[in-house]
Amino acid sequence: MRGHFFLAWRYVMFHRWRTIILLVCLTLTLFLPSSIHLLVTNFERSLWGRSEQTPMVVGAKGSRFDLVLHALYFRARTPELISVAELTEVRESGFGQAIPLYSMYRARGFPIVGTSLDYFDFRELRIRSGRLFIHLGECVLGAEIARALELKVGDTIMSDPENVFNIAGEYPLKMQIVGILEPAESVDDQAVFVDTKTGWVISGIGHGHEDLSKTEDESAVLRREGKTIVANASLMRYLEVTEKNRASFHFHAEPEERPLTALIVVPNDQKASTLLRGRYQSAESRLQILRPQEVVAEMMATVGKVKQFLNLNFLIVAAVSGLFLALVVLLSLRLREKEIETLYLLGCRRGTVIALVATELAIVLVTSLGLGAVMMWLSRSAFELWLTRIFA
Amino acid sequence: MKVGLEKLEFGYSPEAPLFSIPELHIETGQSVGIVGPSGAGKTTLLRILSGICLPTSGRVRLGELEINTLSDAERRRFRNERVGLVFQDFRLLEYLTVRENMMLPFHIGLRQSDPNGSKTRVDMMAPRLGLVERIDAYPGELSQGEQQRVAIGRALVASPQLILADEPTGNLDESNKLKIRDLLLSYCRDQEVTLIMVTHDLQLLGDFDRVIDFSAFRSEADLA
Repeated sequence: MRGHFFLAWRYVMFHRWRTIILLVCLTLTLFLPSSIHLLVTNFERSLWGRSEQTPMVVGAKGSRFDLVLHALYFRARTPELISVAELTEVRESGFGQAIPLYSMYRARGFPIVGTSLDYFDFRELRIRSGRLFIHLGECVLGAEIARALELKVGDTIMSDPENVFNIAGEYPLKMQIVGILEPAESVDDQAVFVDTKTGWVISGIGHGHEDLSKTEDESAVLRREGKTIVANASLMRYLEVTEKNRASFHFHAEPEERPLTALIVVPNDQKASTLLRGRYQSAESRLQILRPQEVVAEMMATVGKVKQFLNLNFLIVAAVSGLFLALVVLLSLRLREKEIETLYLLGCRRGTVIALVATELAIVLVTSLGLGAVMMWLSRSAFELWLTRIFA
Repeated sequence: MKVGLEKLEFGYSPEAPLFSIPELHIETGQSVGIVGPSGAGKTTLLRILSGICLPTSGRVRLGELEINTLSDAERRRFRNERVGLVFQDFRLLEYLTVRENMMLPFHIGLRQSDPNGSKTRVDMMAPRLGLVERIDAYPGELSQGEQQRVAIGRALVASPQLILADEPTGNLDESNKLKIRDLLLSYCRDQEVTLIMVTHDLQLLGDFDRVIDFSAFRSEADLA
């Protein structure tokens, strides 16, 4: 070990508490602005990436941000409902592909997304194990949920009760896990995918129960009016769709009236895109059609201003930290005047003394940079996870 | 190492020299005690002999070298390789152990010595200095006497040809004073090393080869 490096190392180690305090200050000074920069950059990338993949979104008129964030991330406030009729209309127009979204409920805190099988092709989501849902009551889990909840194909997952104190509320549904997706590094990793019909069962529009026309127990029957049987609250609903009871599940709304929260629309071409937009531009239209990229661009303009402020903040913090470090070095040199004089008296070159102090600084700075880099690396995945939940 | 001073003068202004030494010669292996009043320039003389500062005029010969003609870098090299310095206030580095302090001249030296060789040399010197048990201690854990012994070890470890000691016993009790003096004298006699020691304690100088009263060199202007 070269002389000045040895002396610098011994000095730093001997004054370890002083060094640790300096390291913590410098590491945090480096880490905090860098992490904010990384967070904002990831936020931008995440938003842009998802919006670029999603050409158009249709939903009820209202907050444009809510609709886009809901359709992209399933997390924002649920927009006003639209109906299956709107889905049919887009499909029948021949302008493009329409993918339904019905996301109002959660399972163990993760969003349940009712959709069609087209969604998986559209987002290029691949099955890691099992298969996609086919039957009512089946679900496919994103990779992150399966990992976090340690669930596998063949297990079940319950939808969260909307309100435990509302005895008239909808019952939770126990869903059969039939597939786990490969990690997609997106919000899809944290969604429970079901068929829209399963979503409607969770919302209570559809349900299954014992056939009252064949039951011998009349205690659940309030009255019979021809073919119509009115039951009381003691009628047991099925909380799980099984082979045996699947046939008993039915819906209490016309197919075209059943609700959706949004549509993802993939127009065939530019012309189809323009014509589709024209359809929803009238003031009377109950719906709006949005290009997520335009809405995200608006959001990013605000984020950009925040980022500018953060960059300015970073520069000020860096300048203050530089001054603080210079002050520490100057004070340290004053305290060490006698030591430096001794080195000189013993025949040490001035260059060696400068190299000694520079090496001490370098040890602290390099260690701070290293620690900062490790913290950034550790926080990266946390940031990405947080970003996917940012709109919750 | 032979020391020769000729017409040496030093002062903070040329008109009023602090001291003036017409001629002084010290033979190799001699031990010389320098006494004199405070402010007479004893420490300055040691600084001139070690090449830390230059005289106003005159010649300083150390062995074959005329040190006042050397460059700053050459004087530093000379000091590091051939002179051992002992200070009144020890000047040990608090963050180095006894062993590391004794090896300091090698760590800062212009020559890159063999680290194992210097370590062996420290191990050989430690028993003589009575520091075997304290070899891994830090200066803050040592008594004053022990600290001065470490400082002497640091001065001797590079096998200097000239030892310059500036009040090395100034901060020590009676028992330690004698120990330090004996240590320096016995080493210099064994190794034929020239020793020049500045002290105010006349009782320590009995065993020295020569004693020089520095007041003889003070300039007339200063005396006036």
